[in-house]
Amino acid sequence: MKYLYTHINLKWICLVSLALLSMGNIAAQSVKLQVVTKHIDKKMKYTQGQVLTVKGEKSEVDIMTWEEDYISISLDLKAQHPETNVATEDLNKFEYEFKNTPDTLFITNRIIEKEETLRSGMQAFYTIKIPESCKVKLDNYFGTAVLTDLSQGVDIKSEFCNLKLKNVGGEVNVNTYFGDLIGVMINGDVDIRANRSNITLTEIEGKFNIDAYMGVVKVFANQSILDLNINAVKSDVFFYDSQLDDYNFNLTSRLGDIEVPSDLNANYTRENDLRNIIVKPQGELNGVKVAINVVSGDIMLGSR
Amino acid sequence: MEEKNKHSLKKAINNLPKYKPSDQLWDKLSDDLPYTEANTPLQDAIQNLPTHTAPDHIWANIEKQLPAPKKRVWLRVMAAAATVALLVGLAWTSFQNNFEQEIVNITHSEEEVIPARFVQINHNSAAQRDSAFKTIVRAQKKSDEDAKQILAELEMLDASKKRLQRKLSPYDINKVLEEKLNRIEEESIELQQAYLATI
Repeated sequence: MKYLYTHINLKWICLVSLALLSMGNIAAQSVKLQVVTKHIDKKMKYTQGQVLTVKGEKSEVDIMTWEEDYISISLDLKAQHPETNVATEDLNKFEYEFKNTPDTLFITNRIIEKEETLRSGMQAFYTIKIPESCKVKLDNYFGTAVLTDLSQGVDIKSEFCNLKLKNVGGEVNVNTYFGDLIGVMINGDVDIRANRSNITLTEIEGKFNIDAYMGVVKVFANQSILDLNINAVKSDVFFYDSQLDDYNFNLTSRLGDIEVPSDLNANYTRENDLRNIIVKPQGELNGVKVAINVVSGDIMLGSR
Repeated sequence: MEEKNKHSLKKAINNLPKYKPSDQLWDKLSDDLPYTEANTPLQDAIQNLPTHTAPDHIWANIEKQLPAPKKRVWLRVMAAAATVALLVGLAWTSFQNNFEQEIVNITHSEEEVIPARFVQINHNSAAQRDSAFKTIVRAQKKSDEDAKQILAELEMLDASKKRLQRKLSPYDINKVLEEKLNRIEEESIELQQAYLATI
């Protein structure tokens, strides 16, 4: 009996020691970072007709509307490094500015030093609340952006920045390079130019013109009133709807394939490396037009 | 006794010359009177009066019987209104001024981060591959149009990669940017393979 107790105790001691050792090992692997954060709160007066222009660098930008008649900005500038002194020094290289002119409200941030001298991980975080009537122009580089409930349109230029647009209307212009775009409930006159970026659009309505180069374009329509025109190079395009035969499709692919459901009444032609499919609707959405033209890429229509 | 020639007397009086004493005359007459002569009897009488002390409750009773002083309610209301107006004014001014202000706050915290979370900026294998590819390209004496186009795209991608790498530090934990770097790498590999296929 005594032997059994000793045996159990030894077993437990070994297990606990192993657990402690592994925990110590994980702790030794992790790096202790000193995070220095500069938090800025700012209110800006807004006059009807002014455009909010945000220029961000290494920024996560979150823009939304609210019921107040002024603009509220909450900005966090962060620098992180194992040494507090280095993080503090690098944080000072983050420059920001708020400017109010008769036409425009400017919000900018950038890194002023030569990038090679940066030793800390740096990031800016914006939360910007704007009146409903305010138009937005966003230039963002090396970050992300989320724009929510904007009815007056947006003008976006971004590089290395993922974009998310939710419930956006009006005139929408997006020019993105190496930045994926996700759009939900976009309704308006939309022009998207995407270079090396994936585009996913859900529940859209209005007039859409999409130019894509080297990316994947996915459209999840829902019996939408659409005038959609997609021109894509080295890109695959997917279009989904539960009632595909209600649409007026004109699909062309050069050096690629076109895949449509077998029950769709499609007029298919092929000439050398050019494939074309035309679908005439029989249902109510007689005027709805979807034209997809792809070079070196495939087109796929699917039901969902 | 009955007054006779009443009218004649009245007329004679009216015809008498008239004089008006100066304003100081009455004060002078009062000052000339001896003090003791004027006040001694009064002072004597006061000295002889009996003295009594009224009990304390008398004053309280008297105060109760007095008509209550009117409460100035309107004054209080006005004062309160003025205070509120002043506070609202100050708040509004502060709010207006707040548009010009920036509230800046600097904080410091500590965070444990496992190295896998840091952005991988450089890949040694990619550097070796790029170097080998450049050697092959230099060895080519002639390139067709497709090959030139591929090389132009590769050059553009390389410039984008360097631009992105310059913005990153070893302690960045933004995985979205690492994903962009990986995408550039993948596309570069595809283009390099496409170029090699043209040789």
